[in-house]
Amino acid sequence: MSHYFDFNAGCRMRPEVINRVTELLREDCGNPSSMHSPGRRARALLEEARDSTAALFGVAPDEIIFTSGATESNNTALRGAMALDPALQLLVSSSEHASISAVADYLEGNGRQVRRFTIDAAGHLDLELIGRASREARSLLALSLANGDTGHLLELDKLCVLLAAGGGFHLDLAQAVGRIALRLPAAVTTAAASCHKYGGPLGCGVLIKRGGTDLAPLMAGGGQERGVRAGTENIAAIAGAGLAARLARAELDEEASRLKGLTSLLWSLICELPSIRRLSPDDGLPGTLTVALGDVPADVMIAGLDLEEFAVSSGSACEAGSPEPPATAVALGLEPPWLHGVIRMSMGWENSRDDVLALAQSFNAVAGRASFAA
Amino acid sequence: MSEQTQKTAGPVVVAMSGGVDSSVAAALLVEQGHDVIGISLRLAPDDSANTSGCCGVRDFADAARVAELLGIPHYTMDMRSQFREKVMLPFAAEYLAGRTPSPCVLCNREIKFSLLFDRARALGATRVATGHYARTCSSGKRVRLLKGLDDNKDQSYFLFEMGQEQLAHTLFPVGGLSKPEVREHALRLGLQVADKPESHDICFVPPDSYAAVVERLQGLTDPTPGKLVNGQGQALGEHEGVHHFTVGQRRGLGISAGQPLYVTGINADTGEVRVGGREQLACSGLVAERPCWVSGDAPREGAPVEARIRYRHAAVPATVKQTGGKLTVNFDSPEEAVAPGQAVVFYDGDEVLGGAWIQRALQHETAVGKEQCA
Repeated sequence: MSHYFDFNAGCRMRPEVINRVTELLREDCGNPSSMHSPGRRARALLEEARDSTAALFGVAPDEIIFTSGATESNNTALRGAMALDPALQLLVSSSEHASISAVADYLEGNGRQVRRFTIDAAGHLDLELIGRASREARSLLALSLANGDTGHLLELDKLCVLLAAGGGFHLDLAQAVGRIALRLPAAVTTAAASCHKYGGPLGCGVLIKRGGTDLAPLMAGGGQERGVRAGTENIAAIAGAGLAARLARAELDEEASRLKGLTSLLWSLICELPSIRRLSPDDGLPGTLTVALGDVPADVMIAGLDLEEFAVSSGSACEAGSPEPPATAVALGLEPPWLHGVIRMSMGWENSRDDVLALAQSFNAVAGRASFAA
Repeated sequence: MSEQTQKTAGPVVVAMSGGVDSSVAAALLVEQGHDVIGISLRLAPDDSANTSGCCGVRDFADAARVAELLGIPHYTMDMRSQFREKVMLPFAAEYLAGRTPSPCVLCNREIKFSLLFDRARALGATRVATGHYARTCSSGKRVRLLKGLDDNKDQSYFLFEMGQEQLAHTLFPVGGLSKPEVREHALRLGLQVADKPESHDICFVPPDSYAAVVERLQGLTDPTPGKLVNGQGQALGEHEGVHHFTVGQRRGLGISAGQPLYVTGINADTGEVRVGGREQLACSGLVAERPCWVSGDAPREGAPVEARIRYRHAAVPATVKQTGGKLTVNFDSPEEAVAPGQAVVFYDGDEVLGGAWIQRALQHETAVGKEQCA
């Protein structure tokens, strides 16, 4: 039995969701845009999923647009807003997921104004500076609520009072949803998430578009999903995502405190290694513990733990399959050899206390065996 | 060894380039009952237009597929910075110093049988295997390094710097096979790499472009030109930098003469590249430095050996005399094109005795005067 500690990369579908999705794949379900009975059945499933999803995100159902994942949602929100307003400047932090940072690079390459803000050594953005920038020119601000590399949380309420009224604010909720209670301030105009991060199926995502916000669609087509996202809805996956949302919401408070406990427990069991630093903040995203080792390269640590059936990661992996130092670790000012020894352990619904005890034991053993001049 | 004893001997790490040789090496070890871990090393930078058929992103995917088929774990480890520092930069520096480097020897010494060894040990492995065409043989406490059985493929030349400690923990599973036999094994095992073409000699140098690679590595935007001169020092033409030349080279000199001209010597200090007729390539011997002996001991002075002065060179009879850190090698009959910077490797029949790095050639007495030809 393997132990999965990479929930920030993707989480396993909940068994109830697997049952629901496979059931629906066999069921007589049509295209939700059709008039006939199978079509109406599909429409009902779609709207039911929209309701449960809206409840998890704390928004109204008609603000929910289903997409293929957070990458598509981030792209639609950013490119869709920038396309409608040629004077709009984009404000991003330099430690965002690639589906935001690469869009910023792309827009900048096409002559658009992009400003980047870096986090300080404590992982905080200069909120005053961002607020000022939002008042200097018409802006779209794009930030993640929880950083996927380290679990640092954005001080959302503090930021919102500093932002210019009437500007765009896109929030990437991919890592936060299902781990912390969401309450989106009015300043947030769009938001994005992936359903597989909270126990739903892969290939299903959410774009939240608040009332009064316009977005140009990325794809021309049938105009399904509020005229913003074309393409026949993936009903089985969306219905599965709806169920996952309901399950995640029901357990949210309890789960957040359980994951927080497991995170502290894990750190307490590995913190005495001779060359280890904690990169995740104490009050960060429940379930995410990112550390840096000064004497073991990340690839050795990941391989060594994999051989003992523990799945951990360094953050993002490149096409070649070897770990790259996460952007956030670079932004935090981490330097070699620490930079090449970043290990992220991210937990979710499947991890138990016993899992954590076993991981800690193997982590210490592998690190002890592998420590050599990195 | 029985399957049980193979397992108790501890896991074997196989360096998997994604090519057919290392894929079959891994497969044979699995068949022999070893506990096998595949590791692909990321060495060349991604921008090197890697068309070599080994160590590129596509090749890692090939290696990963083979590993899945064999049911063994497979990891890609990033050693680009170490490879650049220990192999690529010295390669460029050697060319600019008027010498002809042998980067594969350095890669074996600095990367495969050093850094990879460390990582293998960190993962609990006791031995490292590669797809080299070479063999080892234990006699008493000593491990002998032997040529690969396939004369066309023998790669023992690149391994002469391996010492007893490394050889004792190294396996060459395809060393006793011919290339056609290796391909047959690949077909028998259903490996999709069975008909993959041969890789080029140097993985980070696309065919016919080594000079451009040298210039890029050294940041040379404006290489120092120099003169092509004959044996008497008379200028015959101009050239665009000494790194374009290798002793023994005939093509690409850019001058015409009544007879074919060859590079007979390179002086990086003056920028002069000396050319002459084929008879001027003949050398009676050479002086080499930094000797390494596989057994740890130099052969008895004057003992007959066979010397190979470049990869794929047919070994010729010679005698060796070691004085301090230097070797004087005398060929039994004159040998052409001794290139400083290349390795001279000594054999006793199939056995590799050791080798050293060529510092300069000793001119054959019947050629022009008694000057040194390189």
